[in-house]
Amino acid sequence: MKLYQCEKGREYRIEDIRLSGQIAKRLEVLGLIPHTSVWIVNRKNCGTMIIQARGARLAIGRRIGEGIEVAPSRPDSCPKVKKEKKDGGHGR
Amino acid sequence: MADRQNCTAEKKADLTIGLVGNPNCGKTTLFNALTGSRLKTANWPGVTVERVEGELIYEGLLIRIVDLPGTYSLDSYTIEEQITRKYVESGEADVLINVADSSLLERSLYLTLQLLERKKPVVLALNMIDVVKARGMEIDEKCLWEMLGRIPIVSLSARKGKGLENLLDAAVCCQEKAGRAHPVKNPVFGSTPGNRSFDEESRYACIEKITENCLISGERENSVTDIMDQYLTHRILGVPIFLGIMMLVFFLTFTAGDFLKKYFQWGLDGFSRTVLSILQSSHCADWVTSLVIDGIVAGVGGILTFLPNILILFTALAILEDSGYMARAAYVMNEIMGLAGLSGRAFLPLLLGFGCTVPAVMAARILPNAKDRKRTIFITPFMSCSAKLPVYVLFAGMFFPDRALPVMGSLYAAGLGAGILTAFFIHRGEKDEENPLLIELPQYRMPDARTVSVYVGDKIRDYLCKAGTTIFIASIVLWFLLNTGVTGFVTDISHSFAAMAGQMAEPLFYPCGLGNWRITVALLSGLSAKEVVVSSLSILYGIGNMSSPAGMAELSGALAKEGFGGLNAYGMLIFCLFYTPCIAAIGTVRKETDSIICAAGMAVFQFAVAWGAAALIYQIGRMLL
Repeated sequence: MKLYQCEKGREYRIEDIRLSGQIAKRLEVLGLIPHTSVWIVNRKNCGTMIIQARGARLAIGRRIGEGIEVAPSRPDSCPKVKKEKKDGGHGR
Repeated sequence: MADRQNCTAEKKADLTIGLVGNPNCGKTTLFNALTGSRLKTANWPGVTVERVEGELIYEGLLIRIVDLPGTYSLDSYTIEEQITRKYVESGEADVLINVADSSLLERSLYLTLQLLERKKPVVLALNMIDVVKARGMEIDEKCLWEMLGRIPIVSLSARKGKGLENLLDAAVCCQEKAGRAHPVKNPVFGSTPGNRSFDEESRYACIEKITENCLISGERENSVTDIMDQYLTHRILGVPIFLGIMMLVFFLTFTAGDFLKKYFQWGLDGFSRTVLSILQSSHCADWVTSLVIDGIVAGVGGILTFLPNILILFTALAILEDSGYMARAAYVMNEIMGLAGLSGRAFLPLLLGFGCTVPAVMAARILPNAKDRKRTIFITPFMSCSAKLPVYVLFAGMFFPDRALPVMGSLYAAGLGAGILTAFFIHRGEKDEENPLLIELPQYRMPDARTVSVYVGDKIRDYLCKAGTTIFIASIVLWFLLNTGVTGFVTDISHSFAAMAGQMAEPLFYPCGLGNWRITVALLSGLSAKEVVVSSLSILYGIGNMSSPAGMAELSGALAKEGFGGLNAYGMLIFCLFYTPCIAAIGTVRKETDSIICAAGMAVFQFAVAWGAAALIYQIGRMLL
C-alpha cells in the first residue's frame, strides 16, 4: 500500500521509495529509507499528512505519499485502505 | 564569562568558529547567547541568503562566530546546503561546532557523520539537553564519544545559557589539537570516520548502531506537541484556527500599531515644529525651510510612523516562528494556496498586504523557496493597502453616497481576484518543477525572548536604513517637482514641473476617463505614499478640509465642471487600487528580491494593469450608459 493511504494513529514500515531526483534525495537525507518506521500523526482526506520518523515530524504532500510503499509494522494489523475521493484531492 | 564587548571587525580573530546544524536545532539561539545582539549581517556572495557573524572575547581570545544556514546535509541540493558545504570545505573556520537537537539525535547525526567524513575539526554540541531530560531520555555521552571517534561533545541548553563556557573551552582545545589528531578506530566505522565514504543507507545503519548503544529513550513522543497538533492541524479545525491566528496578527499589526502611531505622529509634529522654529530663528531662506519641513521631515517622518506596525508585525511573526506554529500553517493552507500555485505560507504576507504593502513584502521571507517568495511579493501589492482607504472613502462618498460600502467592497474583491489570477498565470507560465510539500514540523516550545528581540531589532534596523534611504531621496525629488518650474521656485503649483508632467501625461489617461492634469498630478504624487493622493487634491483644488461634507461638495462641484462624473470616479478608484505602489513599497521589493529589474517590472506591470482595467471599465461604461 502507499503511504498516502495509511490511517492516522498507526505505524508502518517503508518498503520502497518510488520517487526520483531531488525529492528522493531529500527523503533519504531526512531518514526516509526502506525499513524506516513511520507513524501517521495526522492526515487530510486529500492525502497530505504529518508523519513521525526517526523522532522527527514531517509534513508531506500527496505526491510524495504516492511514491512511498509501506506495510503495516505489525503483520496482524491490517488497516483499511482509505478510499480515494472522486475528485482526486488537491495535492500538489 | 565571555565578554561580548563590541569588537573591531577588522581585527583578525584568534579563533573562527562555524556553527553548523539542522534547521530548528537552536543554532541561532546559541549564536545569540554567545555573541549577544552585536552581530553583523550581509549576504553570502551571489545569493540573497544572509551571512550572520558575531564576535566575543573569551579568556583573552577574540573569537569570531559564523552562523551558517540550517541544513540537513552537505549534499548541495539547496542554496543553504551549498553555502554550508563551501564554507566547511573552505577551511575558513578553525573549528566547526555541529549543533544538534539532542531530542532528535538519530536525525541530527547524519550531518555529524558527513562533517567527520570530511576530516574537519568538529565539536558536537548537544543542544536542548534540558528537553531530553524532561522527556526522561538519556544520552550516554561517553559511549557517543567513543563511537564518533572521540570528538569533543558538550551538552548544553542555549536557551537557558547553560554549558556555553564548556562549549567555548572545547572549541579552543579542538583548535589546539587540530593537526595533531591521531586517527582513532571506533566500533561504528571499523576505521576512522574520515577514511570512508558512505551512502545514505550505510550512514543510517551507523546511526542506528550509535543510537542503540548511546540513547536511552524515555516517552516515545512529546505529548504537548501531539495534543496541540491534534487541534492545530486538524483536517477541519486547522483552517479556521489558522485564519483566527492570522486575523489576530492583522489586528495587532494595524489596530494596536495605529494606536501607537498616534504617539509617533505627535512626536513627529513636535519635532517638525521645533525644526521650523530653529530654521526661522536662524533666518534660513524660505525654500530651504520648505525643503526641510515639507520635504524631508514630512517624507522621512512618514516612514517612522510605520515603525509601530513593523515592530508589532515582526514580533508576532517571530513568536509564531519560534513557537513552531509557522510550519503548521504551511501544512494547513497547502491545498488552498496550491490552487493559485502558491505555497501555504504565502497566505500571511497576502493578508498583511491589506494593511500595508511594506511589512507584507517583508513577511514573504517566511517562504523558504525563492520562486514562491518572488511570486508572492509580486502579487502582494494587489491586496489593497490601508493607505488607499482615504481615496476610496472620498470618491465613493462623493459619487456613490448610497452605495459606498458595496463599491469599496468591490475594490477589495477585485484586488484579491487579480492577485490570485496573476499568481495562477505566473505558475502556469513558469512551468516550475513541482514542489510538493515536504517540511519538518519542529516541536512546540515557548518562544525565547532573546531570540525574538534580536530578530526584531535586526529587522527594525534594516527597515530604517534601507527603506528610509529610498524615502529620503524620493521626498526631496518630489518636493522639487511640486515647488519648482522653468522660472525657478513657484508659488502657483500649476506652474510647477509636476504640473507640466501632469499636463504631458493627460493624453495617456484620456481612455481611462482621468484626462485631467490635477488628477494625474495627484496620482503621480501618490507614488510617495497613497494617502498623499487626497492631500494633493486638496492643494491642487485649494480645498481645506476635503473629508468634510462641505469640502466633498466643493470638490465634486469642481470636478463636475471639468466633466468628471460617476464613471470617471469608479475608473479613478480602480486605477488607485491597481497602480504602482508607493516608493517605500517599491524600495522594499527591490531590497527583498535583490533585483532592480523585479521591482521595476512590478511597478510597470501594476501601472499597466491599472491603466488597462480603468480604461476597460470607463470605455465599456460609456457604451452602456
